[in-house]
Amino acid sequence: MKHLPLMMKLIGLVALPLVTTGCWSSVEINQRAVIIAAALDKAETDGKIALSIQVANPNEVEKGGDHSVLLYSKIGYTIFEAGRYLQEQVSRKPFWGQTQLIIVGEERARDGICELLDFNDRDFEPNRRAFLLVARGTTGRQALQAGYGFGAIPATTLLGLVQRARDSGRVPITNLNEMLNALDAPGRSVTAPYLEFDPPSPARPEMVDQNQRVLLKGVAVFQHDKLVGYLLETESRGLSWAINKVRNTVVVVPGIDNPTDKIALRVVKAQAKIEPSIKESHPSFTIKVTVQAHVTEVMAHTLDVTKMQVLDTLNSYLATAIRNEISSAVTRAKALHADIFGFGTLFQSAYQTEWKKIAKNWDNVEFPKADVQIEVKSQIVHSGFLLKPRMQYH
Amino acid sequence: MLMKERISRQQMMWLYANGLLGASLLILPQVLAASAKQDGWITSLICAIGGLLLVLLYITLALRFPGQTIVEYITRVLGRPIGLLALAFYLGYIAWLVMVMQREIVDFFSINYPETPIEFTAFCFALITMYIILGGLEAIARVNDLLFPIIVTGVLVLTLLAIPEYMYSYLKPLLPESIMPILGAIPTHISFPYGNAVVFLMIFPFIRNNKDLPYAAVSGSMMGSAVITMIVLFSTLTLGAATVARVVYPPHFAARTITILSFLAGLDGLVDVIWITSNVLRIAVFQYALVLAVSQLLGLSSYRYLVIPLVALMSVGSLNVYRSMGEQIEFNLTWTPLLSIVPYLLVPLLVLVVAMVRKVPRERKPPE
Repeated sequence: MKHLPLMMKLIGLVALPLVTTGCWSSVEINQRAVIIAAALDKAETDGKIALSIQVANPNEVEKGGDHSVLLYSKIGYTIFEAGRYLQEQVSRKPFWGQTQLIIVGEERARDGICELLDFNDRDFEPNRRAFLLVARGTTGRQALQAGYGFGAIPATTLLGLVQRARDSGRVPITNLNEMLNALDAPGRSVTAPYLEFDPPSPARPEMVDQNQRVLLKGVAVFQHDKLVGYLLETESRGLSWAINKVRNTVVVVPGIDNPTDKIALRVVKAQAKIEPSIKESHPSFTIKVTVQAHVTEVMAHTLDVTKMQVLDTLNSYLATAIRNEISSAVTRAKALHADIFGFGTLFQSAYQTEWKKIAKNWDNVEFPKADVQIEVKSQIVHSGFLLKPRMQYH
Repeated sequence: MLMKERISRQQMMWLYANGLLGASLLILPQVLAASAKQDGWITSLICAIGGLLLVLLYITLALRFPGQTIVEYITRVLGRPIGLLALAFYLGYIAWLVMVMQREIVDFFSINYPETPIEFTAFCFALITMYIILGGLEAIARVNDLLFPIIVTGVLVLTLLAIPEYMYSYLKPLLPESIMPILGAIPTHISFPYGNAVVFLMIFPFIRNNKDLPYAAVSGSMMGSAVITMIVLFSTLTLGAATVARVVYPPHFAARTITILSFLAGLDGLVDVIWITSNVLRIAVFQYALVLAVSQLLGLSSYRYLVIPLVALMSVGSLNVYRSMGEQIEFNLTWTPLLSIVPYLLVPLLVLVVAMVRKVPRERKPPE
């Protein structure tokens, strides 16, 4: 660049900052309406979607006032269309980049969720970090209106429920990425956590009572991508054990001398593995679960954890409890014809040729007929600060 | 034309390595997954060997005529008519590559900033390219020295940070339908990016010491392959092969999907910076080779006269090289592997064989 005259260099220097000031399509942050949660419901008009978005109102969030979030709704044939026309009500530009929750109303979920998620993958703003929830017995819009808890933003409360669900261990959580990838796998059906009003509300109340809360109850079962049923608490944990989603949970087993006594075991580690095989020319699966637990609470007067025999019995009780939960989940999934465990995928990867023969009938014939064995190995590794039971004086 | 510029062994190595990256960092996983599914990384390793064979061919040719570019010796070897025809294929290929690479950047921006006119993006990048090329190859190599480590570190940081997010089950089953699917992607992957490196027949003569060339180019090729395999594994392990095969920019998509250590989300910016940096440098090298080749062909005293017109021409061409991204991807999967064999394999091979058979002298005859 030595051949350029000084003047040209100066002009170049002055011109450079002009192109570094920002992007052509930039939208300043105070012109954004950050969508925290979106709800997708079936609209009254045929084939249309009702899109509701919950937007944070930054000026009010700090004050903790009643208007810290705003809820807008619009009906359209597609999400993007509804979102664009939503602009006629929202004075800022809706931004999908930080959406944490997508709540699908029960009715819409029955029609299938795959097509609802195309926009999420295709457009540059939304992403797969969000969680998809189903609003059982109500609409997504209503679920977004309730659920005030810690913090001023209902969606954040719901997100907290989802994120803390690992501590109760009863609701296996899958984010959109896992869910969408599972939908690509052969024969695979998926689940999503569902929300329910507490106390239950009438079908379509006009206004949501502020004292009503929503809670995470279990998982909604999709056959491929269409909602077909629900797994309740223990069934849903049965699924959790099998697909390796339990991090922390509590299992209550009966006391050793007296079955009405209760002993709470804190599960600290659980690992599961599913092994496919063929038995009498039909697919067969073995779910192998290994758990470690601590004795955390003993509602009995006689438990002596220093005796190996006592621990062995507790271990077998724990194993039985887990086996029953898994078995109830398997039974329910078979009844719903939804392979939410990913048995088909495992079978396909182990037995290519056999899978091709049964792939067509997987949902309706082969999966409900499949033989499922459950093996649970449990180990109690700790029993808290106490060793011996309280002395008995009578 | 006098070629006074010289670059060192390490500079050549990194230039070659970066010459294999660029857009491969962004779109290659999709190309591989479309055919080889979860075994794309195996294809990528096999093609790394193919890439080594190609680079050996290019080195042999470059060392057969030390200090000369292919434009200078091709007519001497093949005779004027056939030489010019072969050169037309060669230069046409480079020009097409430059246009496609520029368009890839433009397309990427227009997906992420739909309201920005593509002409504006193309114009900005054309200015950058002109500025880099006017600095000469030494300047390009020095910029590459500065940025290439950042590119590699970026890829390393990304792939290592994401380890807790990897789902190893996405790599199973291994070779479900024996080896045919992994072979299917080989022609495409060899031509892109390994075949593209044929452009280095214009760059190799600039190495300071010819003895260093084999080491530089071979290790450069291996570095490039390693980074490519890492990116392919990163995409497959985070998204799964079915998704990778359906997404245009899998690493970008994967990076915005994962949340690292439960707070670090949206690392797509990192991927974008890495690949745009790499692609701009790659475009600069390819564009430089093109400008140099054309000016040598025309017998100009300096390549600088052609920089502005040719870059502008390529930039306009890039906006018209294909109509939509779907068309380009379809073309890349079907016709590119076939058509590009001529410039990247047949032309250099022909020149080498004929030069050996006819015993063409290594040095140019001194002007009489």
